[in-house]
Amino acid sequence: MGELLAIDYVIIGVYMVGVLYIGSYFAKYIHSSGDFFLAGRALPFWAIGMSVVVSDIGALDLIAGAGGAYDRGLAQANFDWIGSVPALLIAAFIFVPYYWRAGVYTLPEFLGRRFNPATRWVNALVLLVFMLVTVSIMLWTSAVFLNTVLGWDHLTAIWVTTAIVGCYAISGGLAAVVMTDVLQLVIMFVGTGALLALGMWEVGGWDGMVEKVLAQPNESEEYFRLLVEHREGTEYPWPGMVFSLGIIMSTAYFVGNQAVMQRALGARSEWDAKAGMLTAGLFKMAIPLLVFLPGMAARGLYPDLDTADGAIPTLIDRLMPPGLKGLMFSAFFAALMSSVDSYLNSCVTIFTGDVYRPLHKKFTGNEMSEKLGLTLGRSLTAFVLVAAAIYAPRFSESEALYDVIQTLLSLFQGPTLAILLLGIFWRGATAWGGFVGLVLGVALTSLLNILGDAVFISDDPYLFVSFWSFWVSLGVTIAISLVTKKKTTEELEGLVYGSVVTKSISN
Amino acid sequence: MSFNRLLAEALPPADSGDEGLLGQIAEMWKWFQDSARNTLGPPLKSLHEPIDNWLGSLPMSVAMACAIGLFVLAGIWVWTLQSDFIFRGAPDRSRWRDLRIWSMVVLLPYITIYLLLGR
Repeated sequence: MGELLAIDYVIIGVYMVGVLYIGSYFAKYIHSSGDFFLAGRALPFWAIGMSVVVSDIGALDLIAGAGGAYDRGLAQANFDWIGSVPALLIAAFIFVPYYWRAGVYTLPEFLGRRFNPATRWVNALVLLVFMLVTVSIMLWTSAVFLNTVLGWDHLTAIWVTTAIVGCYAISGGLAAVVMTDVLQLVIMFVGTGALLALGMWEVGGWDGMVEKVLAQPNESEEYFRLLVEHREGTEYPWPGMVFSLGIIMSTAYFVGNQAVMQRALGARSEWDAKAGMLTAGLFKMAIPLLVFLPGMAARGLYPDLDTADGAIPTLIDRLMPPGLKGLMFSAFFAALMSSVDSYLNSCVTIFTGDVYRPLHKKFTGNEMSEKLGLTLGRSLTAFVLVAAAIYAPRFSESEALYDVIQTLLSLFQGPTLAILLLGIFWRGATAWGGFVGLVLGVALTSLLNILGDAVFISDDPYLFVSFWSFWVSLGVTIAISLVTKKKTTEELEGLVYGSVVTKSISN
Repeated sequence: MSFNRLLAEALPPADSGDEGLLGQIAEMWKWFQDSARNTLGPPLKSLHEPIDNWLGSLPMSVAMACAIGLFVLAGIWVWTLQSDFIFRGAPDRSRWRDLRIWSMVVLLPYITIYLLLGR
């Protein structure tokens, strides 16, 4: 990022103080576990929408997203456009009302109630491991970032980030996390907006960028198309983008994402929960413009970068004046912290709700009290944060672990959505049907990934693998459910859509 | 990251002569991978190839129609939702709180973007 001057440090300092103040402000309103985990069900729609968007974008995503656009052009934008909005509408008008009225707090909880406790445990443990590792990875990323920009020692950087996030996440819970996310989004948009303006100015606007990119060898107008032809060697073929990403993968991501659903459940009303999802859809429109377009501008300006991920750092280093560099630093740090605090809060929610609460009831015979839930929530937040900070330096030698976790999690996306949809909308879905559908679906996903370009046109055919694994899981779940024992109407009361949403409308 | 590339980076090359546990796992994995690709690859490819050929033969106007169609269908579906459902939890039924209108406000820019940049 180049050298930071005094004005940059002032801006960074003001930003950090702002985050701490806003985050700590909410501690005085936290008196119960409901206040801590669901913000006392007081979140307004605009905060939900903004928090969903900024939690989704981490610092790595800023770098890698712009790098992807540098390499592949406008098609990268599909991940935030067609890969978000239809799914957010489905989330707003199907799943949010359902989760809200069914009284479900987490996805593992729903899967446990609808199918069986084993499904809940497996799902909860997989998510917990993923979130714990992700928080550690993000703390390590923060350390690398601060080391590069400010010259801080890695360990110092890890503990400074831990302290800042801990100050508001431990005391204020979801409310503090969401409201700091609102500030993080504003900072991120202003910072990346400045980078976009400078980058586009330097490259000569859209026409100038097109001219410079097309003048490069092996580049064509396809670089500037959203939808790319379906042919051998294509990484983002349009059928995969529209039918897999647009319908299956994005829906699986949003409705199965604890951080997203938790924000909706913390809304002050069902209307705010739905409106929050739509607000997120509106803000999502800006992400490709603010993140990917600078990457494409960098392609026009600096076509010979060693690595595509150098696009954003190069733009910042060469184009941004003092003051704005500090703002960009703040934007990166905002993206980082918003993801750390979201995963942290969701991780603690799942552990408390899906692991500790059932065990507490099993061994004591009583429900966990609100006061105990609050104490546990705060203690666990501190514990998980400190544990992640202690473990973070290990990722200096094994960063591939994050890719392993991401890849393993992606194996579950299509199959999980299939059994989730059937579990919600079809009374005939049975526990065995869901279990076999999930297991065979994951097995098929793994196999198709191994076969790769031996079957599909892409070397990394995750778009088509998710598509087929979804449909196969759906078919298997239906087939097994037809020949296995079903739950009674009484057992399904409050779990299937008809008994939850439609009944509530007619009442 | 590609599943195969991920494993290739995690394990030593199968022909590296590594006789340790990782080396043995790498050899077994390579055997399994090659067997799967050689036995299942061709029949599954023959099933998927006609689909790939058909998709590849479609003009990009179809691609754009499908992408925009997804947004349009979503918009049509939203307008079939009952008012009681749309306004549930809202303090009043002001026009600005109609989430069906919100959905149009969200969808229209995306439809415009894909119309302009889809092909």
